[in-house]
Amino acid sequence: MNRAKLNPLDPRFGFRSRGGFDETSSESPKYNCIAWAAGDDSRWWWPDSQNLYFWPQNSPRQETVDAFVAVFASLGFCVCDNSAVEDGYDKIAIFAKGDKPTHAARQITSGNQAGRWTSKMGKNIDIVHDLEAASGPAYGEVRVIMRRLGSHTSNDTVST
Amino acid sequence: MRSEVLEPEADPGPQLHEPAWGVHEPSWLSGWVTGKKRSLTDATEYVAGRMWLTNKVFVVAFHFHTWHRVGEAASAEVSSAFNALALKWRVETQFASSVNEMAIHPAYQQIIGMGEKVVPVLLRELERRPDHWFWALKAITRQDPVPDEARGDFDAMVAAWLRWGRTQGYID
Repeated sequence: MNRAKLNPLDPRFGFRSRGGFDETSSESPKYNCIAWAAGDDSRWWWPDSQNLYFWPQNSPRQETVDAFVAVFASLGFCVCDNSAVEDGYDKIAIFAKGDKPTHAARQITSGNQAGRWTSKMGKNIDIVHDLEAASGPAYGEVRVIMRRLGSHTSNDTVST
Repeated sequence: MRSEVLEPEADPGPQLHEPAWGVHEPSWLSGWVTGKKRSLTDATEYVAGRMWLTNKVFVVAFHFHTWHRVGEAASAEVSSAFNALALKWRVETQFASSVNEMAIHPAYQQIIGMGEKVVPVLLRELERRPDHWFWALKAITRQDPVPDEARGDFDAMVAAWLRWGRTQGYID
């Protein structure tokens, strides 16, 4: 694929100083972080201006934090104020640089990785990591945390 | 008994007859077929005609060969330029989820700028090593063969573009 796997020392992320990451899948161009956070590993979600990719109907097709919050709200998530594990809740985090969303991660709610986060790194691998470790020049910072009650996704438990 | 005086056949001299396909046929060649005598002049003309014809065939063959080689060289140049740009793009956007970020990458934009001649290369690449070339294909061809229900479904998008490419004769 001419792509090197994600390197824990990559200066574009904070893995080096924040516990690294565990690889949980091989590379794939078939789905991205937004799809993965929403529990879908079969499509690439993005509100691209050419209208080529999947984006939930009735959600604003805009590359803004508000539009991404609206998408996850349409899936039952509400904005919350912390990233800690809360019994019975699924959580997702939206990363952004300025007002441009760059990435989303989903909290693992059960198993030995509970409380850590799972991310699809673009076309690269899936990883489990501490939330802030994905921050850095590539994805910017965590901008919004959202949660929803109950229904865990089918991809909820991530084995490492 | 009256003897008939046979008038010698008037000899119009060597003439060139032009068939529909534009090659001059020496007049003596017709004579050969009808059993008429040949002369040294006729033979000279025949040789000249053959040389002329050979030259024309050679020229046509040379031009075809040259055109073919130029086409091959241009195609190889496009492939080579594409491969270098695609590698850079893949490496530098491998962690991006944003389709817009992928599409505005300078290498991707240069690929789009290569125009229609890169379409067969893009389609072959899509077949051999699938990646997100959909934006480039749409931008260059102004077509979008992906049905609405397949938006974001990578495999279906690849299949739709390959089907389109075959229909349009860009790939086999």
